[in-house]
Amino acid sequence: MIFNTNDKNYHISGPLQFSYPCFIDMLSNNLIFMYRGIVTSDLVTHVLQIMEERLEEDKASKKTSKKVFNVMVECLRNVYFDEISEEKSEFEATAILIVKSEEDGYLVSTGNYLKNTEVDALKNRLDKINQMDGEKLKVYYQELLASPVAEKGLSSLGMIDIARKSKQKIAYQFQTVNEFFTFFTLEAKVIKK
Amino acid sequence: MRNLIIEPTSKTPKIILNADVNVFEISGRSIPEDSVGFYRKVIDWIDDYSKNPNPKTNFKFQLEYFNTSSSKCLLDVFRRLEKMYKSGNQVEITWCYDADDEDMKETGEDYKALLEVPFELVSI
Repeated sequence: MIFNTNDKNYHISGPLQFSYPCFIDMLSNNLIFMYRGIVTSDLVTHVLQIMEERLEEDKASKKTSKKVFNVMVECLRNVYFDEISEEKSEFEATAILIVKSEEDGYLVSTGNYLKNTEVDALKNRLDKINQMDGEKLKVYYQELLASPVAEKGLSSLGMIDIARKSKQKIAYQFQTVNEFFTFFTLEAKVIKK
Repeated sequence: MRNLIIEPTSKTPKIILNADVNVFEISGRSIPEDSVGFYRKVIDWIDDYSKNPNPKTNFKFQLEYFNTSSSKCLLDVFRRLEKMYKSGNQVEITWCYDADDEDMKETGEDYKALLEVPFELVSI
């Protein structure tokens, strides 16, 4: 365990103590979806099925829903765990997905632990994308699409996709947890249309 | 030659590659776990078909949404069709998108920019 279980913020004691605070928290923040666990390909499909209903309940237009779907698929790609090719501890494979309904749009947020050594490269990729305007993103996207790329390139392609479809800068944060791990949060906003 | 028909699932698109009736269509959503494996079947089929294609081939794409690994595979599919076209066959790609789906239109434009094969964008 890397977090401090003595901290009262992380510790809910006694039976019947979880539901109400969690419920109030989700309600007051307008969180329409929340998941914590390992993100596999099947999970993505299930999340999309549930989100289809949640967005309908939230009266999102078809156009907006599609955009949220696209952005979500790519955000989840970032925290996706490939059981066959990746060697990760369960700790690293566990991620969080939150979808928040705001007045003018939907906020899709993912978070997961990374090794500290992975931070710089990822930060550079995000900064590079965030510096580009729509036209530059288009050129960069086409360039990466046409080049034979490995996994890193595919991840960049996904991030460009998020930036282009959300038409916003990608918000991110790296919180150093200890000498080995950093918590990485990525947030993309889809404006309601 | 044998036709390739794959029913859609929650992760993979519907595939109809029927040379007998001259219908070539990929439609739906595409977020397969193994995109390369899935599209391999399509590419192998095209490779086989291109040995003796119909006088005219119109390949229709109508996708709802797809992930980035699928987008790479789609380009591979397009490259095969481009190759057929460049070897003197009459080949055409039709990219259909929902009238209010500007993202899908934009994606079509991205592909069009990268390819040298007749590529038509159709709003439906």
